[in-house]
Amino acid sequence: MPSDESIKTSTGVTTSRRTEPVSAEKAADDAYPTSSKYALELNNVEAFYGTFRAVAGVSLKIAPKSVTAFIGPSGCGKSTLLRVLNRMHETLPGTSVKGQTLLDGVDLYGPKVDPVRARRLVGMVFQKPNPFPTMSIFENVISGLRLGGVRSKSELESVAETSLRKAAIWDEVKDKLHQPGTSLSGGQQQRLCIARTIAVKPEIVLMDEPCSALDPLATLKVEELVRELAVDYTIVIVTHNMQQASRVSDTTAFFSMDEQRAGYLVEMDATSKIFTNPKESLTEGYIAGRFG
Amino acid sequence: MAFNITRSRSLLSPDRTFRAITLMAAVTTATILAIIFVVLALGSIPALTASSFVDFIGTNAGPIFGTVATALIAIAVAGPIGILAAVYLVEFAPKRLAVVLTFIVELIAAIPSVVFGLWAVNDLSIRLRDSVEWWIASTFGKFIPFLSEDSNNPAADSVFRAGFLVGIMIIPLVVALSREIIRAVPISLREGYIGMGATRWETIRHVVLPTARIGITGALMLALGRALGETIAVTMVIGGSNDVPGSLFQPGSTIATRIATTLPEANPDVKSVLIALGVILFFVSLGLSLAMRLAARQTAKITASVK
Repeated sequence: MPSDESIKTSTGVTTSRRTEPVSAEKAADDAYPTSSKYALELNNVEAFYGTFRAVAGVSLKIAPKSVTAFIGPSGCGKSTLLRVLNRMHETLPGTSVKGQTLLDGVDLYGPKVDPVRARRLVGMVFQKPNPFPTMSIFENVISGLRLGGVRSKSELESVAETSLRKAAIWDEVKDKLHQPGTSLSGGQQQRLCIARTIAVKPEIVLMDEPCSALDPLATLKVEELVRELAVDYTIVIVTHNMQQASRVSDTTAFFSMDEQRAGYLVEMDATSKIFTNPKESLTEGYIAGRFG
Repeated sequence: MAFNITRSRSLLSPDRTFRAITLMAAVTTATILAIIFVVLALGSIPALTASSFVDFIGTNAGPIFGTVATALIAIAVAGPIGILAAVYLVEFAPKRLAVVLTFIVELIAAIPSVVFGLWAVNDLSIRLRDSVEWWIASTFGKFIPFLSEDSNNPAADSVFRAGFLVGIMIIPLVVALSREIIRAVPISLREGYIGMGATRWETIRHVVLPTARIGITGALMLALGRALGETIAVTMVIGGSNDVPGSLFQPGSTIATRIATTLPEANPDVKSVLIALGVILFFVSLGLSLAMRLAARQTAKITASVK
């Protein structure tokens, strides 16, 4: 866990965060001022599939360079909410989003925001490893850079190496960079996908149950990686595995479902607090394994 | 005893009987292929032994050329349209529109060949002659005699028009096969690329189509096989000349049209030649069909490799 100062947020949530500003030059790149001390700030966010409200009125704040875990029973909208955070939710037909989602103080759903560019700032790692099967390991890692228009071979190579090193998979793949990404094991594929995501230097990395398709050893490696990545990135991870949430996260948000089956935020607090002394009895029941 | 569970002694238990009947049906189906092959192979022996294979090809160069030319033109027409239509149906079309469009495409596939021929004779041929053919001939015909046309006296029928018509006829097949292949590309790959900050078009170009490439190639092979064998409609617009035409815009013939038009008054020697041509068509179609299978298997392997 990053051993930086603890701050008291306006919601009373204690989280640890680093003091340096979040990648100011990147924000300047996009002509947006860095105006928030939060990497993400959600105000009354709702997400719909057609007329069905899957996420109801979620407000929360996420500190930069921390790991936030979204936990809760199946169907409580945590994955949907995650997909709201990088505008992936809207790629499904009939979906819509209400409320305010601030990325570094900038409205992610503002009229001037290009969702395609926004997704480069908010990367995503999926439930199942999904390396592009017609691309080599190298091409997978640099796929985002190529999309961004980077052509310089030396730059691509150096970013590929840095990203693979950061994703703790460089030693395993450095001699076979030009083999297909799909030739790797499931755990390696997932770390390759993480490398691919961080190669574009996003502000935030979203992970949607990244270990659910992996065996325990591969899971352990990815969890270690998540901790290491939190030094540079803001990470939001959806997990069904409560041990995983307690191992990797600084802050935990617990979601549940209301009578209309809409997911809502029950409480959000420092992970140690959620797992030892939660405010809500619902949370306590879930943590203790009484439901979910 | 209130019930009887002893085995029936009859050899003809219902299950056995039914199993035997279905087995016979399956064997009959498989036997048809063998019978066709044997009969055609035996019938082609006189023609293939009368001269060398090279001479055989030489004397039948007209229909062989016409077959290849019409099939390639057909693929050039149906390939791009069919694949792009399939991309639209899978990637962009709203659900209801996709259903309606798919239904229409299936309707086109249900139109009898002879009706396509009628339409071509009365409408399509004339339109092509005055548009595409005229444009190609007046643009390239001066340098490439093979693409030239006597604009004062354009031919009544042509190899090009026959190929174009067959292309239109196989569009539904290309759409249907490509759509299945494109749909089989896992959503997770699309989302992965969109999540990297790609547009829909970039995702289709860099992920969906490359992943589907081998399968789509197979689909085109199968469509090519269909194009090679198309007979009635082609007969109606290709003109029936047995020689290799000097230009694509001149009359020609294909193996299929040659067989269909010559067989009724063929003497035994000619008959054997026609059968030999049929054997060639048979093997080429079989080969293309096998290629399609291999491609489908390869595609399944690629999509399955995404864990």
